[in-house]
Amino acid sequence: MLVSESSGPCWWDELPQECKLQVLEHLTARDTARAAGICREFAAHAHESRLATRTLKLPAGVSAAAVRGMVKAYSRAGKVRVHPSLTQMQALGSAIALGAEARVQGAPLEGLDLSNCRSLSENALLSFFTTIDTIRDLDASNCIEVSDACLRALAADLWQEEFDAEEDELAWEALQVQDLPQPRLVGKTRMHVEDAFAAARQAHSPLATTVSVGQRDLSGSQQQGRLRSLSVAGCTEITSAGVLNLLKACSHSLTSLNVSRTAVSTLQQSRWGVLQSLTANQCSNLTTVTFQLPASAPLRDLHLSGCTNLVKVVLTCAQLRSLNVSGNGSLTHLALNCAALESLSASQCPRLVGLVEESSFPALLNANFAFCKSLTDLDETLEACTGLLTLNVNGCIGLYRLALATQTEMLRLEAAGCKQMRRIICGSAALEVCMAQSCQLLQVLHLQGKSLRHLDVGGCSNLHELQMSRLERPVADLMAAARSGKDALFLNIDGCPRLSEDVVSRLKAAFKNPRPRIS
Amino acid sequence: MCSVILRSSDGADHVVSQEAASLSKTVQSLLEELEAAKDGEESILIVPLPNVCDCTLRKVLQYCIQHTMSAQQVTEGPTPSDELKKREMEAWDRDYIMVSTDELYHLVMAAHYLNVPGLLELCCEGIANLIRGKSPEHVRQCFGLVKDFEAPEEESIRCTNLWALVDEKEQAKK
Repeated sequence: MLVSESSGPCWWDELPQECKLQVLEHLTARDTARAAGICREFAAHAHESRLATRTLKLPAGVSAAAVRGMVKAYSRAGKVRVHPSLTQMQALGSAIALGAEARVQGAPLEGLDLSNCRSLSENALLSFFTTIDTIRDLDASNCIEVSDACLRALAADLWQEEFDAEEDELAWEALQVQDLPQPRLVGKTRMHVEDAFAAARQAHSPLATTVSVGQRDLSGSQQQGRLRSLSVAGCTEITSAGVLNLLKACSHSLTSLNVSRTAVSTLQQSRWGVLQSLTANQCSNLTTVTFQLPASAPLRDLHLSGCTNLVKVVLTCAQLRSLNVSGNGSLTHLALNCAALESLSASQCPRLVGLVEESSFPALLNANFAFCKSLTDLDETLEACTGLLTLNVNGCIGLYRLALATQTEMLRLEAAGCKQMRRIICGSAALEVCMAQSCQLLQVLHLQGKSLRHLDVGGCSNLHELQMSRLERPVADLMAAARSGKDALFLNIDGCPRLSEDVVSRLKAAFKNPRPRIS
Repeated sequence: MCSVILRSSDGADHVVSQEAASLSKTVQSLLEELEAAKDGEESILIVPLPNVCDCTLRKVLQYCIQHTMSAQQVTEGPTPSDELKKREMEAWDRDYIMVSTDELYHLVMAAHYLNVPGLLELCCEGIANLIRGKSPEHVRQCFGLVKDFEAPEEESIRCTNLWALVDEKEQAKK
């Protein structure tokens, strides 16, 4: 593109360091590797950028030989991402495997990202998995050819690779022990599994050795099962049968599973093993999800959003931290018994009237029920959540009151556009943001308001009682406090004709912002 | 829209809109200082830029004016489509950066000093294009760099980065 002059001055050295870096950022991996031959400075940059790469993206149009060299050179990349155009290449899997093996003091290659390789055949996926035998994290999302048969074959492969028949039974026994509700015994039961394997290996040593000859030296962790995370999101052919098959083979190693946008219709599987994260967004065949997990089950994150036909969610998960059931148009029954739950997102569930009464999630910090149009009462549901920090009920047009007396730590309350809302009472002295604009029927708003810096009640045409302990101080004090505060303040009381003049003037004084707002 | 004067190192003045001038963050902060110091007097502000020569400043202002104009078009009047406009702008940028290596050097230094993020990015891309797809010898010649490797070092670097050359050799064979 640029006409270069052969007799140019030596100006590279004069460029500021940050410009040099900005220039080098524009170079692709291949450009950088080629440029390494220029001088020490470029070579050092190429070296550093190689070492900093954790995910190696194989570009389109590379040959098998180049892939091998690339995987070897990027020795710290634990994960390889394959360009969709490369999957036609016959020797790709072995090229990656050979490259990874030839690494000098490198990281093991544990992740393979084949997402969006739409033409990837089932056999090809399987051959990747068997050829590169260090793979533990597999991402096959949007590989539309991948189906149940593939998962079955994968399961069979895992099965064969790890155990012979007797070990297998022992493993199941061990797992059953693990599945019993025994809190704080996870480590111990894990030992149990390993012991069981060890015993089985010794008892059947000839068999066991033949198995291990087929593999290269498996480290201790790999002996517990190979697959650690799997994503088959968007593989529309996949059903529950295939997923269960796979889970059987690796329930003691799989910690993360994503089955979003598949045909999975049931997740009633109590044997989730060591699974920590499960994602099943937009699974339109899913109607009911029931998990009654033992206290030791480490499931922490569960995502079930956008499942249009999901009606019922019943969860007893002691270690669950985060749950997302937003955008479920049919959800009516939500029962949670999750002692550790911190984040609950149930926005845009238009049929949800309330949570089941026995629900319990005392550790909740963040709750989002925005646009749950049928929601009528939250007070009782949230009463035990004394540590609640944020609550969002924007657009909940069925809510008529909100009494948050026990939630003394709350920072943020959003209740805009709640057309039926009459009373909002919040007992938190820490509250910083209160948004209740466009609640036409709102009459009473009680806030502690010591730390309040953002108050929006614009368009609350019936609001006549606005109580804030702070406002009782003299006007001069209020203004002084506003001026000395560090945070930008925001007040909107437009369209509230029923507020008394005294309150309005005090509010204006208390929110008189010394700094102009940044738009 | 009020105008300001930018004075280059060789003393030539350029009258531009404050908006265009403010694309340079350096000029913007200088303007703020001058504004604060002038005590309400109605006079046109003059910003001296001793680090930028007239020829380069002219080129920089070309960029600033074009980019403020297109931003104005976006805010007012019927918009054909943002996508189309973006493509036009990219084409203009591509054309704009077709300069000699020397000019490019002065431009990148000026963009850095004046702190015009968009122009700096464009210049860096231009320099990257000088490196891209060229043999190391060619780049050395272009930038006036010296090969400072010792033989074994060069060989090991060549081996590590060989993969980048494999495909080209094969293509050459074909």
